[in-house]
Amino acid sequence: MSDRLATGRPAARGHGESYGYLKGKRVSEGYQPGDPILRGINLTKKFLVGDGVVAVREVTLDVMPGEFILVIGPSGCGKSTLLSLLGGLDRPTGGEVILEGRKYSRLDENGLARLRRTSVGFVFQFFNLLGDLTAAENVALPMRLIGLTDEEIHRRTEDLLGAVGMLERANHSPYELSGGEQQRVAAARALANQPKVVLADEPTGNLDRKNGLEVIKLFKRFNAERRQTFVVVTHDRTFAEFADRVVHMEDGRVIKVEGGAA
Amino acid sequence: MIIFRLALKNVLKNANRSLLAILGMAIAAAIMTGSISMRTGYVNPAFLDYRRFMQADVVIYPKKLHVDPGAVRQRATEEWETVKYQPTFGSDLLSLEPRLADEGFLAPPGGDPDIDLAALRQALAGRANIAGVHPLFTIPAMLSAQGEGDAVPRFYRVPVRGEDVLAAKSWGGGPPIAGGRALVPVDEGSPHQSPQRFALVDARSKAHPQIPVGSQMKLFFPAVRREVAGRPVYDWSDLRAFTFTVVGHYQIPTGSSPLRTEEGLPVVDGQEGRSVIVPTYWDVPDILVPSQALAGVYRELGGTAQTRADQVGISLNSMYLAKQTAAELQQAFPNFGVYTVPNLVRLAGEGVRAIQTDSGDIRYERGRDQQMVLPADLSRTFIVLSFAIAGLLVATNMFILTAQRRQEIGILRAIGASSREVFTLILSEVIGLAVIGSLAGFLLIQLGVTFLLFFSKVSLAEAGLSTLAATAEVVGLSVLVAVLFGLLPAWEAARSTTAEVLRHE
Repeated sequence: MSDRLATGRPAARGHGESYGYLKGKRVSEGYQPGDPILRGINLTKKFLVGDGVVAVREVTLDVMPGEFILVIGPSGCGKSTLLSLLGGLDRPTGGEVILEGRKYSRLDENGLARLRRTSVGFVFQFFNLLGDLTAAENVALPMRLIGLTDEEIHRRTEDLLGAVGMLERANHSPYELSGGEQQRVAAARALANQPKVVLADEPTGNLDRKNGLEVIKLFKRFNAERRQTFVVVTHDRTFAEFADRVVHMEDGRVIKVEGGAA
Repeated sequence: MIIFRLALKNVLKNANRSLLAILGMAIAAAIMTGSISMRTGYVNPAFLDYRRFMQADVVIYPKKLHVDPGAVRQRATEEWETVKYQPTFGSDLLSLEPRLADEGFLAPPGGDPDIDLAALRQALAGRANIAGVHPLFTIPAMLSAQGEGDAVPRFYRVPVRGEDVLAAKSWGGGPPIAGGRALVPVDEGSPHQSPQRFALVDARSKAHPQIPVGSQMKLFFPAVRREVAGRPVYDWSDLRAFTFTVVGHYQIPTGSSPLRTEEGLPVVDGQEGRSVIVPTYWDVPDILVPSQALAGVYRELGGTAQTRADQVGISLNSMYLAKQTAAELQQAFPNFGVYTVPNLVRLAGEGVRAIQTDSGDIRYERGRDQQMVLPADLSRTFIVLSFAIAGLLVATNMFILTAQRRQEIGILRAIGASSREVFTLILSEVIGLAVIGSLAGFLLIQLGVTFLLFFSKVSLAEAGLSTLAATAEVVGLSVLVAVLFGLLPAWEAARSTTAEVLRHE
């Protein structure tokens, strides 16, 4: 990627997507294999509610390619906000997020949207499937947004639904699926465009213990088989055994990192 | 594509919630459809009132797409009458037959030729919509006739009009020629020897004594002293005699009217106790002769080619441009009365009244009753207002719907939909609502209009074209209004960020 950017032309990244430049400024630079794929540097997020609530305070987090990270902390400690900042869903009040060398601060809203299409996959606590679409259509949606061919979409959808054990329920509406099934479909959707990084916000929070465990195992399998990087926010410490690193948060700060190097 | 599919699903899913917007758009479309129907004149009433159309100089009427000369000739063999057929002009007047002719279409007031045909043709040049130009000529003449109580024949001034009169086969036939008057025979007529020099006389005219059928009628035409810009200057000191055979009497029915006394009271049937309804007629002094014969007379009088006409019929391929064409012609010829067929609806109230005189005779006079119609400006205002209200309903509805669907929009943004795609999604839904609403309103009215079309002898092709054009106009305007009013909610939805949405879960 860095070599291509060095040519001085906007970086093209698959399917005609381009987010290497914003209004002539280069936003991606200096990324080398082996560098952290995702970096949060001194991230601060302040919400203008009342006197102002600081949800994230000067958090720095480097995520290495292929890593499986759990972010753990009590409710309201800022872990979901941190995930939003890392995924480009929200903008930090201070600090910078860099994904594969691309600085979010230099991307506009549409630039971030294009980045989320191809490089970041999201899994939410409440699944967030579109109720008007079937399970297969939900999985296919991100691929349609980047303009893959019908044939390729069909192939990938089958592959992903098969991988999450939902192939037989492909034509069911989300309303006809259980919570665990919906979350598996949501996981398949997050992986549809083969993102480098998958961010999961309390993916087990709305599931029973058994289904929650299955979802985490599913993530771990993808992480192992496809070398996709996972950052999973949860309040359940029992999943720590699956993680390469566990990041503990409290009151908007990272208070401890277990395993690897923070 | 997926965005449009999502939009369609949303429209269908939320149809009940969107009912108000759809209803508003439907009402607006219905009002517009009704207005278009009246404006373009393809509704039945327009065809019923051609006979009111007596004073126009330039008449604009639709060209129908089917022409069946055989059918008219067949009718002509059964009884004598004027028909509208002009092979030299390729006239489509025939296509308006028999109904328009039967109802008095194109009856000029007489007088000197006044319409400059060259200028008219120039004004019409380049207009693809013009199907044909059909001039009608008149030459003033003196009729020598002896009325009751006259010791010797006297002269009566009469206009002689060239009409395309088709005589019955039993009378030896005559050249098929175009004209525009509803003629109904009042006698059996008589055979005549000269197919070129025969005439029809208004049976009800009080302007001259009646000439018996079969008798020779002497007409004295003034010589043409000179022509000024195509307009003849007649020399009334140099009258030339021409003899025509009267082959029949005609009368021009204009419908029916309640019979009233001189004081304006209705005449009541003594036994039944109901108002007496009597047929009404125009009485005109016009002597009708074949137009070819009249052209021959004009040349013998010293004239060359008539370049001005009393009245001109202009047929159009499509009546959708009739209003515009009429307005442009009216501007080009401010001294002429330019009318489109739809104006007949406005003129419908100006019928003929039947009045019973003290002696018991029936006298006819023009009425002044006006039919209540919607003025064009008011109609336009209604359309604009109704669409404005419909647009506001759509906008309000979309604001509510997008507020309810913040989560869906947030999800789309989270998985990478750009603001443009969200904008397209909402706008597509707005357009979907507009199309559904406008089609519903349009169909509601258009079904009735189309039903009337079948009874007004409009060809299926013409009716189809009219309907298609009206559909495009109504749905097009609806979509335009919806897009305008949908821009704001679409923009609001597009600029919402994912974090805003997910934070409020």
